[in-house]
Amino acid sequence: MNTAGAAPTGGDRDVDSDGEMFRARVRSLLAENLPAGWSGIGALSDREQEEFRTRWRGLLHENGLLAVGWPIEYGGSGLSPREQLILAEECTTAGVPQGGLNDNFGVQMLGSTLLRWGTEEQRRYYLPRILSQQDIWCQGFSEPEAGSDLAGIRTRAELVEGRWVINGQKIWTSYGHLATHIFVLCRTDSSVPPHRGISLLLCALDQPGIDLRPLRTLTGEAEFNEVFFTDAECPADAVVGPVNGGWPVAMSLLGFERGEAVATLAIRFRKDWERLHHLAVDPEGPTDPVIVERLGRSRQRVEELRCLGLRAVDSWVAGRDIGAESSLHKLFWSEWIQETTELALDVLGMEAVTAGSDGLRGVSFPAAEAGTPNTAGTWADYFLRARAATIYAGSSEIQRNIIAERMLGLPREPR
Amino acid sequence: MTGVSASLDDDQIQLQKTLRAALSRHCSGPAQLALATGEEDFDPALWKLLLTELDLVGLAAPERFGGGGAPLPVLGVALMELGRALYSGPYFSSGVLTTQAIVGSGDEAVGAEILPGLCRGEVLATVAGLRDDGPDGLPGVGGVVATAATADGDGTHRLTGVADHVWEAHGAHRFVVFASTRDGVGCFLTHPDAPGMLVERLPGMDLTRRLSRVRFAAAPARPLGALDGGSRALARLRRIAPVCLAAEQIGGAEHCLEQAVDHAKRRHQFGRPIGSFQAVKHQLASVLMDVEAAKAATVFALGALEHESPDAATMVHVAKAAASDAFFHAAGALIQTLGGIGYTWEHPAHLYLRRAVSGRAQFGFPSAHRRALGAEGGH
Ligand SMILES: Cc1cc2nc3c(=O)[nH]c(=O)nc-3n(C[C@H](O)[C@H](O)[C@H](O)COP(=O)(O)OP(=O)(O)OC[C@H]3O[C@@H](n4cnc5c(N)ncnc54)[C@H](O)[C@@H]3O)c2cc1C
Repeated sequence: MNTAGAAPTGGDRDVDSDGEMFRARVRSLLAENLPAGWSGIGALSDREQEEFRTRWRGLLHENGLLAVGWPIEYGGSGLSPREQLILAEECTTAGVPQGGLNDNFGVQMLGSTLLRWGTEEQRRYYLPRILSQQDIWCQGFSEPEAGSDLAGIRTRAELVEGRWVINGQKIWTSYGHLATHIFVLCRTDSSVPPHRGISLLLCALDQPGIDLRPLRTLTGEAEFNEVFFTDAECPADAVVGPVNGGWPVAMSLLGFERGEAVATLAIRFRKDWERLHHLAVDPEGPTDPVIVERLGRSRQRVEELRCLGLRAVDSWVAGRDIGAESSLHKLFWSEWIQETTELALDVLGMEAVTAGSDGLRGVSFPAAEAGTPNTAGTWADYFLRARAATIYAGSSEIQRNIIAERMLGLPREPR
Repeated sequence: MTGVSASLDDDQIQLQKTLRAALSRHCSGPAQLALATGEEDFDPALWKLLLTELDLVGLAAPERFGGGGAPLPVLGVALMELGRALYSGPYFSSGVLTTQAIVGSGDEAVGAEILPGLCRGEVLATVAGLRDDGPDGLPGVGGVVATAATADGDGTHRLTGVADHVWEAHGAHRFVVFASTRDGVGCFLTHPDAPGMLVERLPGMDLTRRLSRVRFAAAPARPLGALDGGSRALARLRRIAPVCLAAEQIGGAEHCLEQAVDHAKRRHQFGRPIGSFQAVKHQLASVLMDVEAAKAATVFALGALEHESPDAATMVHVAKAAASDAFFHAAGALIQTLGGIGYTWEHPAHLYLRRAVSGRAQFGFPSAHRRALGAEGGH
């Protein structure tokens, strides 16, 4: 138990200022718990992956390495930014996940939001339940009529006899079928301008008023859902932040980007690139120079992303907010995935066309998991999945608006 | 931790501010245009400023030769600012190319003879005999050169041939010349008054970087360093020159983007600022993405070279390819955003575009660097 040790305490930290002792502990945890010849979770079959994920999540939890940014009093590990970075680097390099599929919603988004906006009672109640998986969360923001223009949501909630009663519809709810709860953005006052009548409610899915229906993505898988609310209920105190003041809460929920995210993405992309290089370049014979150059461009962009990541980490470690630069990162990596998977299709030619899907193993956005077999089928699948990258989490058009307005100071679009 | 960083540190940011303030006074648009189109090779007042007030000329030369001994990332900051100001003159040829070639050759005697004067700004020097593509297919600074050296009976070497695209050759007091010899690449020192030397200015797209052809007809020269001095000097330039040029390009790109943004905020059409049109703002957002990524990569590459980290060679290709593209992209976007005014002779935008074009072709095209990255494989 606790081989990696949760947070080293104050004294330790001074000794371990560059985190190398912490890195050694993480490495020994990985070495002790991964089988010989481990190449990454992507090498496992779907069912094995599910089992592995469950076991691995438990192990991280036991070792206090699940909610790395939360304070210790709420079950987090209170790691310093540098330690969080090291943990992420080591897990990424080893090809193991840092949590379960819904932890991005529970630990990252909701957890961080409760720490910032929640009441003490809410934190004490919800946070441990996220860690123990008594509550498994999904995100109910988008609606059929409100996507990029999120403030246009219509799902309504009213306080009736001490409970919120919710009516409306959410859509594109990722992993909603694996969740027990949904944080749902609702209109709680229609008489005021759109941004001022919104609240963020916390709602259980297992109730008669909720109907969750799977939607298939273009890859053919059922990853996201629609959620219909018909007089669904949640307690009056299940609101995060002020009633009708949910807009800034929602914005900060969307803005929790851990500083190490880009840096570790570059590690994953580098693995993708190496797999592609292996397919594209025949060491024995000549390779089409155009393909070589496009491979070079892909590698160039991975290295640029790595450097952007290092810079973001410097800011993060120094306690500076990277602000709208996260939009720049999002735009950069989503374009990389599309450009590189398009190259893969060109390299594979008819092989990719006739591959059929053998499934991109490891359903983890946005990059392929380490260990993913280097087959035409996985690349074909990766290509298809890449279409989503420029849509979710703020489309490329929205990101360019944000970059232009917040980083360059250009005037807002007329609305 | 290698100590290689993709961010500028506080001291570097301070230097950046100082340089930017000083250079902005000297490198205004009209001054740039006058210099670009006039007869002067460079602005002596500006050279004096770099030399005395800013202490830049010997910035990265070793202290034992009278230089500042600054690490490459600091030199990079200076180059970014010079690039932003579209500085025109012998800084890169003397302070980067010649200095690095001499240091790389390992010839301490020539270092002691030439570099102190160079750092004081009394000696202007340049490098000849480089090619934009080497015979081994690697981009950057070429290996085989157009000149050849033969040793006379008395040990004097004589250079014969033509060296093209020599930077700032007019006004140079010393030439470091790469030439092929029986023992491989040699590196030689000569001067413009040596018999058999002829310098011809080449007509040029880039009005602020003057390139020349130098003809050698049995011109006497001294070898630099031991037998492998030439290949060592070349190996060093091949890495440092592309990244230093990348730093200069980043400065140029940032300037172009800022000018475009400034115009987009102020110019109104259809009753609103043109910067509120998505077609305009999205183009500029894309430029920013390219510039920021190229900048992070260039700063990192400078550090990687300084620390001789294992990924240095890779990062040279990344930085030069990314910065060349970013600058070209930014200069094009500036002219487009300006509209008609951007197409005038009087507006300095074209000077940046011209510089962006010439920089792409020097020390390896982006495409050549990408081919090197693509061929390199993973490890
Ligand atoms: C795989 C995937 C998973 C998702 N998971 C979730 C989830 O778990 N929970 C959740 O709440 N949502 C989720 N989403 C929804 C996602 O956030 C939305 O798809 C996204 O916000 C875009 O909204 P939309 O689909 O309605 O498209 P729209 O907003 O209708 O956009 C359509 C097109 O118009 C463009 N456009 C829109 N506005 C502008 C503008 N102002 N200027 C220029 N162009 C514009 C967009 O860029 C896009 O190209 C997911 C989406 C995907 C693809």
